[in-house]
Amino acid sequence: MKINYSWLQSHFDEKLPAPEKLAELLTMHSQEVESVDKKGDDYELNAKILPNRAYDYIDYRGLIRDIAAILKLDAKISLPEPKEREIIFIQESDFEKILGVKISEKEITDILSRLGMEISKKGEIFSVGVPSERLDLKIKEDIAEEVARIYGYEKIKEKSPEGLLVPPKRNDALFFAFAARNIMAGLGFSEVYNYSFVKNGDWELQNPPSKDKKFLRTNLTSGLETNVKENSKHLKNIKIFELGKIFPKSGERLALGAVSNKADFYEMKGVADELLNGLGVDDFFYKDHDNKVAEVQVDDKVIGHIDTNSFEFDFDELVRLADESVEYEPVSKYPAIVRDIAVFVPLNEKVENVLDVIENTAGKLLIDTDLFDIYPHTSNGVGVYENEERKSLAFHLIFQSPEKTLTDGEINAVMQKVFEAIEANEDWEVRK
Amino acid sequence: MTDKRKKFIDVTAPGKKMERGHLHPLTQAMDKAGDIFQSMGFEVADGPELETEYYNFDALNIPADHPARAMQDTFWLRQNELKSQISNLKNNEKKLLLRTHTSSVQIRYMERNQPPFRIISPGRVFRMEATDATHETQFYQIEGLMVDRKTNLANLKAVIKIFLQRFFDDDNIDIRFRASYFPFVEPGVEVDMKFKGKWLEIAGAGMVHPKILDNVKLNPNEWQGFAFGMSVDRLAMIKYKIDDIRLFYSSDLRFLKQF
Repeated sequence: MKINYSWLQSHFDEKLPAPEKLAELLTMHSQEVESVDKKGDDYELNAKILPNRAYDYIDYRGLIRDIAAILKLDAKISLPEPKEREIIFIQESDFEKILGVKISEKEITDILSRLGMEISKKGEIFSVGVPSERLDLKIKEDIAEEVARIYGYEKIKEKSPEGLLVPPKRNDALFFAFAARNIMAGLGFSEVYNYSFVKNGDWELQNPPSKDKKFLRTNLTSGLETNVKENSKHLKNIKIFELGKIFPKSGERLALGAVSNKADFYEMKGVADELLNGLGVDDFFYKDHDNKVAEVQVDDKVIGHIDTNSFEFDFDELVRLADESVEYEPVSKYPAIVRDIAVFVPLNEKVENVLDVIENTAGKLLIDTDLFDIYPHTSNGVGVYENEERKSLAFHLIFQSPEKTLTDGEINAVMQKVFEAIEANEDWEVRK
Repeated sequence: MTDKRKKFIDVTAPGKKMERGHLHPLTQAMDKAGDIFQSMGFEVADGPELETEYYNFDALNIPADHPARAMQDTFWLRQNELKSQISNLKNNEKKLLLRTHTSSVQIRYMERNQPPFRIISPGRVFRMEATDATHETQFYQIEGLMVDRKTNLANLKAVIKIFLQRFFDDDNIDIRFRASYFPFVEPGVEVDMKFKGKWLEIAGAGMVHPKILDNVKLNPNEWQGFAFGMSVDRLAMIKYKIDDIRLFYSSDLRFLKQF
């Protein structure tokens, strides 16, 4: 709304502050003046009228009254009396209670009268007659605002809140999100934020921002794969992740997705292991999946998928399963003994099956089993040498007792049992 | 004296290439803001991005005919049988939208908890806007709420000022309130920050409107407090001297790896 400076001046005998200064006063106490333009001998103030005061400004009455109140002047043209007045009651102490500053009764009365209100006071209580054109004034807080803005917010001195020193409650979802982000960054993945809008999905917008952004995303991986494509114009190795909301049919879920363009399944599985272990998720396992390489389950519930070089987890599930409590297990005082075993198995045999046999046979002295070599090395079940019919799996078996130093004899006996158990399977052979 | 037996190592040759991952600048900004507010006793709360009209508008005293509800400002969802499948819907009959602010989280929090309240709610919000260097269809907000028996405007000033000073690591930061209007606060103010000698608009704030307290079944004569909201993108743009908001959503590693 454009207002001429000379027109404003014509309402007052006293000289108004210079146009720029007046504009600043209005911006602080009344309405934002976005620009002051020189027009011949005059100036034009461009005010951005607040939506709740549009009515008040139809004939600029509000602006004249605001100027009168801010500068403590009397307008020389008396403004028309309103047809009706609405009465709002406010206690004197309410001003300080809301604003945190003590304003004198005289000042309150002066400000409100210059704004066109009729004031009377009975005991502690002001009754304020509000002109009918001020549709924005309905409750005592509105009256407190009228006084505060004219009095000047700059005169309200900041005061630290009082209150009990109670540490805030932790938000678990945000706590584990923070932990997950740090694990991923620690593993070399950089975080991206993609758009929530995509071309296809389950939830459609009535008013999409563009044709290819009609739906809400249902997964993070597609976005991450596009990011890999874009970034590969400049970079060779791209490891990125995103933690964000997705919108499948069932509603809204928090998801965590990651892609590493140079990784294979086993590398992504390693990242997933580290992430899940880091969040304290126990007892997860990997299963074959029809169109992706693997799905990750806990208690028969699918919590995520791993594809060749990417994974995506339901982070709401991870938060539910996550556990930061750690119980210390004493480190044994006695030395560990390491024995190696290599087993020939058919190419399509799963490591898990061999591990099961070893661990179920070796007993509690076996504290860890570590697969250190697969030969020929396979990636996603495809052998490097096509002629091979078998592969060799080599394990370190680590034995330790919390009670004593183990002897060779004791371990030899355990190893013999393991050999026998493995060779009980006719397709398996212990490499000697 | 050099030890002759020591193996020759060229300390000026480049180290072996290692690479750490980088957290998104908006994550870093929200973490930092979260730390500052938590140290002042504020709890961090979150809520859904897919919201109902009730939590985004009605409960916040935003009138039915308010321009913010219109199609040119708010993203509305096409609704069919899907809507009944959302479990957290309180007002099924109300229309679904993408939240335009995280104030909706405050309502949800106040419904579930007993005052006094000190919370902040960081999160992604959506506005139907033409995009340019300073406008995006999605961005992040941090909204704050403090409600107890005496919390006033002077307290709001103190909390925002100390937050900005800590966030920008600059004790010279000053703030000022300007008269303004938001339907959910009364009085309502615009907050400017004096940063390196210049006044910048940084937040909208005010005293929680009594109607909102009433909407969440609190007696406005007993409880009062302040609320504020600011854009995380804007805070991060000022802090890191970023001139285009769209960079945050570009997923360009040449940008992201600088943080």
